[in-house]
Amino acid sequence: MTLVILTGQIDISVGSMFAICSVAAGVLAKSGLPSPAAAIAACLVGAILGSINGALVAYAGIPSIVVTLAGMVVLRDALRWQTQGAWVQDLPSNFQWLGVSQSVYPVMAFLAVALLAVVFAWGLRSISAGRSVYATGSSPEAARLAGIDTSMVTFSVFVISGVLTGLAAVLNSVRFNQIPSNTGLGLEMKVIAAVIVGGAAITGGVGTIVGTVLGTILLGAIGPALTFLGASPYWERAIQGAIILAAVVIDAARISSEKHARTAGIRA
Amino acid sequence: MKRSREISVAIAIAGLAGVLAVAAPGYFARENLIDLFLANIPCSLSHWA
Repeated sequence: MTLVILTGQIDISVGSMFAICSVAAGVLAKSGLPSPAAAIAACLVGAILGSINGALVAYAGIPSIVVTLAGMVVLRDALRWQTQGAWVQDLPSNFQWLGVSQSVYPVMAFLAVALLAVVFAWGLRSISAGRSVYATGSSPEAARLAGIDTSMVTFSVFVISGVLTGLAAVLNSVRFNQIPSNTGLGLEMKVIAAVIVGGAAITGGVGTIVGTVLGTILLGAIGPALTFLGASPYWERAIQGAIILAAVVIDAARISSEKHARTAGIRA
Repeated sequence: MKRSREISVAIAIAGLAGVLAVAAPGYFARENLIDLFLANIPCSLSHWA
């Protein structure tokens, strides 16, 4: 989502894509496909769904909020219709924990998540494709005049978003021996909130992976923290909302003070 | 200032960790941290891209 928001777009269909990828991985694993093949297939499903979103936004020029809102509803209800609300049950034992032991899996998952974070953080700062993402989000017209294929950049970030949603679906599904067909409900809001709290501007062009990691840690830690502190877990969403609001207000105040400082500098 | 938002969020995390270290040290039990991490994998991965 960070890359999508950096290009000035939004993807609110990630929760529905997550559900479809999870169910696809489970059904394929149940049909006898080896776990790695089922995982790759789930990522492929994510890539296809992401490419549909990307093509409609980048090449058909439809606003991303409209495309992904429609995608969110269509994918969720199509899955509900297809599964009739039934869960994928009796998953094969070699699918659980991706065939490794329960103690090894968290280490493996941590390494995968950390590696991806480092690669994306480095890529955004150091390679031209990463800089193109910032340029597209900051000013699409200026980026286009500078020779950047902004449509391709936008299309690519939606495809990458789809692939990573597929991977997230697999890494989450292998923790359980059944997959609910309504999994990932509300995921899009958690993801968008983490990115915004981490400092990304919803208008695009501003934000970092480090900020998003910190945003995820903060928002992910609050719920269990409230339980440990003896507070009602019903406060979790209210506190998350307050944090998001505070982040946006602080951002607006900072931008305003920078503008004032710049104006004062010009006058002087 | 560059990175100001990251610093603000890091300070908020440190503050929360400080409160938890005093009031609920059980939060930092290995099992809880692993569970917390695994529960947040979908969010962690989905937001990179």
